[in-house]
Amino acid sequence: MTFDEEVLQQFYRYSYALTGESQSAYDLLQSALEKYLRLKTVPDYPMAYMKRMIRNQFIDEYRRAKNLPMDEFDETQDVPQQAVERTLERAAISADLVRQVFAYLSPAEREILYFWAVEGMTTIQIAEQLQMPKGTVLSRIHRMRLRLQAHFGEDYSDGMMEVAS
Amino acid sequence: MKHRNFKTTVKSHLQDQSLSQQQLEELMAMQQQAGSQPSANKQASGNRYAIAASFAFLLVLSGLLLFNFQGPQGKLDVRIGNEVVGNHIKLKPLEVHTGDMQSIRQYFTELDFSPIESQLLAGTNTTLLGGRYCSIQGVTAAQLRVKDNQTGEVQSLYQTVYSDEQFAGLPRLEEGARPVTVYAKGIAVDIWVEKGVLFAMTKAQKP
Repeated sequence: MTFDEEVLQQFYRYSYALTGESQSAYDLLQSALEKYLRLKTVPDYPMAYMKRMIRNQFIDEYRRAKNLPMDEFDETQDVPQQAVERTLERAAISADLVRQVFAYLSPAEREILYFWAVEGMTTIQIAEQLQMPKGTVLSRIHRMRLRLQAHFGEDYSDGMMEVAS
Repeated sequence: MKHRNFKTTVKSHLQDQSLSQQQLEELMAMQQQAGSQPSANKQASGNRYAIAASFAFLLVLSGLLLFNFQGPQGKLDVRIGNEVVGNHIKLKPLEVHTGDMQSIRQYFTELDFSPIESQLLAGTNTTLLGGRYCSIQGVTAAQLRVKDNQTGEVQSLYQTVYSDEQFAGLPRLEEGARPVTVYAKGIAVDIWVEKGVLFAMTKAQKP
């Protein structure tokens, strides 16, 4: 199957969410596409399959380079779902600050933001997409909020402090 | 500082990121090249767009060859040199770690050729370290890594299948030609064709 230009752009944005940098994003996409094109049969869901290949390629490369904390993609922690989802939905941020936020966040955190903001997924759908427990997704969102609050303080926390009781 | 909804701002930031026209063309070329190689196990796509795009690509390529158009990046050897150096600098992880060509050939089963040992490298004091899949101008290639035993420097040795349509004009050893040397980012690259295989190799810098 040939991916058209718009689909390649989508894959690029996903790669960018993981790597946080444009050249690395292109390299990641190119490597994953090379592997995809060597498949002997076309997958049933080519786009989802290709995204998984991009993700696996990213984890393999960065794990080999020892650039990725090993617990980044693996930890689980119990966090109330409603509280976590509501804090993201109510958050507000300036366009200038989002670039700094993106540079600050880890690949795993940026990946969740990508599926949530660009693809409009719920936490359950993100968990299915990433093939991980819902609790892991929630704990990552919760930790992201705490880290951003601690690092960016008042500018970021506008709207993020409201947590459902 | 005006605050917008976090979700909207994140979405906008990500959607602002996009491939350049050159990057898009390279990725489309990779797909077209892969699609033009028959595979008994691949499903027939019947994709009219892919067929039309392939035809349009061949038309443009014929025009470029006919009018000796140099393209936005210049001549073919320069474009190859830029691409090889760009990948060489990144030193991406090897997919197979081995010191012998037999193991290399056993790993690289998805190429349209079998990697060979070049006569230009016979007798040189180098050690093969391994390889990974890569591409040159959209054609799947083997990127091998070799170490100069004297200097300890690591070099990249690319091999891909030669075709007149894509690589016409490059020097062929069988015709008595010598490799052409191009430079990119301060690194020299030797390019030549041998036994139907296109070679591109980075070179150690002379002191």
